[in-house]
Formats: sequence, structure tokens, C-alpha cells
Amino acid sequence: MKFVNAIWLWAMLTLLIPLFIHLFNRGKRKALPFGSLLWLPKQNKKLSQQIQLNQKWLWLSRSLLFALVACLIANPFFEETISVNNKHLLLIQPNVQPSLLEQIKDTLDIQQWDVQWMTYNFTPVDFKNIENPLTHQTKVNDVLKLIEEDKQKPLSVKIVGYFNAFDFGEKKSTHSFPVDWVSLPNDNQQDAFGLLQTEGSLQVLYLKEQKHLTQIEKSKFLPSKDTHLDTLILQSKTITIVYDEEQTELQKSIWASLKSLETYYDIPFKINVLKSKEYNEKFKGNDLFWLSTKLIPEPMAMSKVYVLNNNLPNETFVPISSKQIEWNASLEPQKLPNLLNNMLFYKATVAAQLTKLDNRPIHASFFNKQHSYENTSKSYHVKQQTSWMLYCWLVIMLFLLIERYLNSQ
Amino acid sequence: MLAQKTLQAFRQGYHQTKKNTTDYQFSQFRNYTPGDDVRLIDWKVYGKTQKLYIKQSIAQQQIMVSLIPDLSASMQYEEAGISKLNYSKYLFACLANLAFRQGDTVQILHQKPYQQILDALIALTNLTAANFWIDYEKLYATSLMNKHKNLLIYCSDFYEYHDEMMTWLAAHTKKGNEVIAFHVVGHQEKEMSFSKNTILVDLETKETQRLDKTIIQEGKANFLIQQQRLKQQLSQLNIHYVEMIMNKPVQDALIQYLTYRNQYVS
Repeated sequence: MKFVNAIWLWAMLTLLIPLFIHLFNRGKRKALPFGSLLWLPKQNKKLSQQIQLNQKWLWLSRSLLFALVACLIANPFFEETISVNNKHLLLIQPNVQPSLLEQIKDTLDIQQWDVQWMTYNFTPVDFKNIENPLTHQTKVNDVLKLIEEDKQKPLSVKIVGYFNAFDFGEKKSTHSFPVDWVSLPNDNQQDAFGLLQTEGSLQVLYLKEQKHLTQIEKSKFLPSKDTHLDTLILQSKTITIVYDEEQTELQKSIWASLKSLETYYDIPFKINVLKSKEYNEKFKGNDLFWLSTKLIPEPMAMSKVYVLNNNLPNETFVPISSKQIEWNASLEPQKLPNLLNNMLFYKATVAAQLTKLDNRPIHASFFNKQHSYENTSKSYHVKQQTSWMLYCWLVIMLFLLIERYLNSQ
Repeated sequence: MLAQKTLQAFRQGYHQTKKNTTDYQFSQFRNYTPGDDVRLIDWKVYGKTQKLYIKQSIAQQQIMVSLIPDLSASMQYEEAGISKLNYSKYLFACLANLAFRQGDTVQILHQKPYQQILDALIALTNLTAANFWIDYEKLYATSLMNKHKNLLIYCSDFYEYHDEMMTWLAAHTKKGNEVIAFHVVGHQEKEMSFSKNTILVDLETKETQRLDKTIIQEGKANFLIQQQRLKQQLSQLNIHYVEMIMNKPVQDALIQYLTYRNQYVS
């Protein structure tokens, strides 16, 4: 268990207050000469002991109440509540040829992952002897639900199969572990997004359980006017914005949004603002916001590039030969500030423990707001925290009842 | 002096006579017989009747006022700097003053009647409280040896272990003495207005008792019960009971007593 505002734990020192009052009063007890004790009731030892015991319980109850309130204000959360299994799970649709398994593992570089075939209730099936494996296939979401209900949840899940647009239709994921979708190329049908180009034996399409494309690896990809940047992933803390004279206002807007992020989450960004002619090799590796209408030069290799102009012909601005480009997409430039503001908004909803993510990628989705963080274990922390706070309040109420009962004795 | 001042309020309409006279009330005449004191012959009657008569009268009986305080250690109990014993002494000083003014004789404990008030007051001042009541039993018993009928005024907190006080008071009433019992009560003692952290130390037995909420509540109720029981016991013995609460002036108790006395005599 960790605390968001751990400094409030110092408030637990208030536990000492009743203790001091007790000790102070104990010392101050004074003897008073009295005429005679004849007319006073005799002290009932049992009753006296009962009262003393009650007093101790009362003291304990009050102390715990103080501790609980301090604990509650400190905002506790459980970090590792779901990572019991400590393993990653590779789910494979039954219609994937078993012979491809090793190849898939190699490509994804996940040799050590647990493999499960998505048959009904995970019943082991010898697929070599089955004529039509599709009859054993079950719905992906049912399988995920079963995993979710299992006490030993995996750290993450990758689902491999032949997916199309219908698989992702209106699904909303509410899992406490991240789920990645790996689509294999399907010769019989057009790819749902028209983005996949088969080459070689295996093409892998990564989708972050979202309707739209977010990332493509090991493929040659030509951005087109249809490609929209709907998810922004910042991977370095150094950001370069390249702009032309006529885009000064937009540049300022982006800069301001980034600054907001920096201030709000205490993540120090280094933001370089350049005109296109000033861009050179020393900015290599930065997250690059390319606002300029000019061609992106070669030195941007290894950079994460966001091309913020979709009015240019495809062939004019991306060097097709470069295999080093990890990611790029185009976006109407005016949408970027909104996108950055969205990042701000989602961050705010997942509370303060996410502020220390300076070494992790920051995600934001432009269209699919609800999915931004719900798929990650981080959102699970927030849920846990909510229920924990509820329990705290219930316990406080219980203490108050106990106090009332003991006081009435 | 305090007693003098206290009594000023009770002396409205009171006039001192200039000569000491013995009150004589006419009863009858009888014939003179030889040997009778010649001075007793009523010469006025002889002038009218030419016969010797002797005027007989009944002298008004003097009352011996016995002031007896409780001298047990419990009378050391103090409230607002005044002990129960001192409070009793104050009351007795007032009563002694009144008695002297009426020509009554005043006796404190078993000692001889005092001729002067100053002697009585000095004797009162020298009284101290200690030990148990039973230790003074013989001293108290001597007051029963008095041949004359007394007005016994007893001032105590009435903490008794084996009805020793009641037995002694009963003996007095049996003898025909008129007894008035003043009960000295501390205000805090009655209301049990002590804090929970107090430990009470019995002045007689030296036992201690730690107060708690229950004991305070029960103690307060118990006191009233015991006081009621005391009143009943005294009433059965024909003893008048006067409560003296220490935070109230002595005059209150005096008024109670004198009102009763006025009704009793008339």
C-alpha cells in the first residue's frame, strides 16, 4: 500500500494527544480528605475493572479513529494488487496454424510468455486432429472476461488472430490488465483499415485495443490523407517543434499546451522551437512536431515524428526509403492543442499517483476518450482507491458507534 | 465577636433589665408557723387582716443548656477553608450567647456550667477533633450523670458505625432531656461535586476511594437516603433535626432552631 499524500501520515502523531491527556491526568489525581466513606457505595471491583477496560477500548477506538482519518487524507492505494501471476499471456485464436506459433513468438520477441489457445473455457484441444478449428473458437471478450475473473491475473495479454473491423466494433474494454491485439495478415479479405501491406511471411499489426490504428511496426507505411493522428505518445522528454513563419500562432499554442502538461504533472520537458531551416542532426531522437510544409530531412531518423500537415501530397514529405521511422501520421494542425489538452484532462482523472510517469510514455487519444487509461493497471489503482476510501468511511462510522456505546456504559 | 454580630439580628425588641432579679411567680399564702423566716411574712396582708401570712411562690426553673459537639476526626472535613468543627463552634458560640442573655446556664461537654460567657467561648475554642466517636463515649456518657433536665444541643455529621450516637441520644431523651440535633453537611459532600480524578481519604479510617462516574452518582443518591433515614430515627426519639449546610450562613440554622423552639415553648 502506498500513499498519494504521504505527508499527511504525520497527522498520526495526533495519536499521542489522548495518550498525553491520559498520562497527564493520571499524574494530576489528587487526594482529598473526606469526612467518612461510610455513606459512599463500596467500589465494585468488577464494575471498576469493566469501566477501566471500557476506557481503554475507548482510548484505542479514538486513537484508531485519528489514525484512520490521517490515513484517509493521505489517500492510500494498492499498487500490486493485480499482478499476482507476474506473467504475460499470449492468447491465440484456434484458426491460427499451430506451426506459426514459434514464428509469432519470434517476431513479437515473447519467447517466455504463457500461451493459451482461445477455445471454450480454455479446454486443451489437439488442433492437429481437428478438421475445423473454428468450431472451437469462442468470443475474445468472453475469454478476457474469464481471465479477468481469475484471481491470478496476467501482467498483460496479447491476442493473436485474424481480426477485422467487426472484432473491435463497439467494444469497450474494462480489463485490469493491458490488452494488445496482434492481427495476422489475411489473404482472403481486405484489411479493415486499408493500412496493412503484406510483405514476407508475417505482418503484425499492433492495435492498442482501439478502433483506430495507433502503431505499426516492421512495415513500410506510407502516410496518406486518410491517416489521422488520434493517439499521441510522447516517448522522450525532449520535444522539438519545427514550424514556418506562417505557423507562428500554432507553434505558440502547441508550446503552451506542452507547458501546461509540464506544470501540471511536474514532468520537465525540454522544448526546442525551431524554424525548418534550423533543424539539424543534433535534434535527432527528439519527439518531433513537424509543422513545416517543407520536406523532413534525413536527420530525423529514430525520431518520433508527428507531421502536422495533411495538405501535402504523400510523396513530398516522407522519405519512403527510411526504415528507421517508427511512427508518423498526419493531423490537421489545429487539432494538436486539443489533443494535448485531452492528455491533461485524462491525467487529471486518474489522480495524482500518475504524476511520476516521467519515464513512461504518455498516451492520449483524440477520439476514444474512455479507453485512454482504462485498459491499464493504473486505472485499477484508482478503482481500488475508491473502494478503499469507502471502507475507511465505513470503519469510521463503526468507530463512532463503538464510542457512543462505550460512552453510554 | 462573630457570634455577637450574628445575634444582633435576633435581638429586635429585646430590652435588658437593670437589676438582677429572680423571677418569682405567686402561688399561695399560708399561715405563719414558728420557725419560719420572718422576712417572708407579707406585712401588707397583716396590715389588712391582722394575721400573719407567708407568701409562697414558685421560682421559674433555670435551664441548663448543654452544648455537645462531635469530636470525631470526620469533623475535620473542610470546605472553603472552614471545618465542620469550626462551623459547629460558631453555632455554639451564638447559642451560648443567647443562653447567657436569657440567664440560662451553659455547659460544654461534661464540664461545669460556666458563669461567664468568655469562659464558655474559650472552652469552645480549645476543642479539637480527632479519632473515632467511640473514643469519646465515656466523655459523652458523663453528660447523662447530670441530675437536672437539660436542653442538649448536639452538633455532628452523624457518621456512626454501630448506632452509638443514636443509643446515646436515646438515653438522653429517656432521661427527659430535650435534644436538638444539628447536622453539619458539606455542600460538596452532599452534592458529590468532586472531579473524577479525586481520591477521597477517610479522615477516621484513612481508607481511600477513587471516584468515578458511578460512585459519584450513587454517592449523591446514597447521601439523601442516609439523611432521610437519620431524620426518621431522630424523629422517633423526639429529637428535632436541623440541617446546617456549610456554604450557608449559621443564621439559617439558628432561624430554623428558634422558630421550632418558639413553637415548642408556646
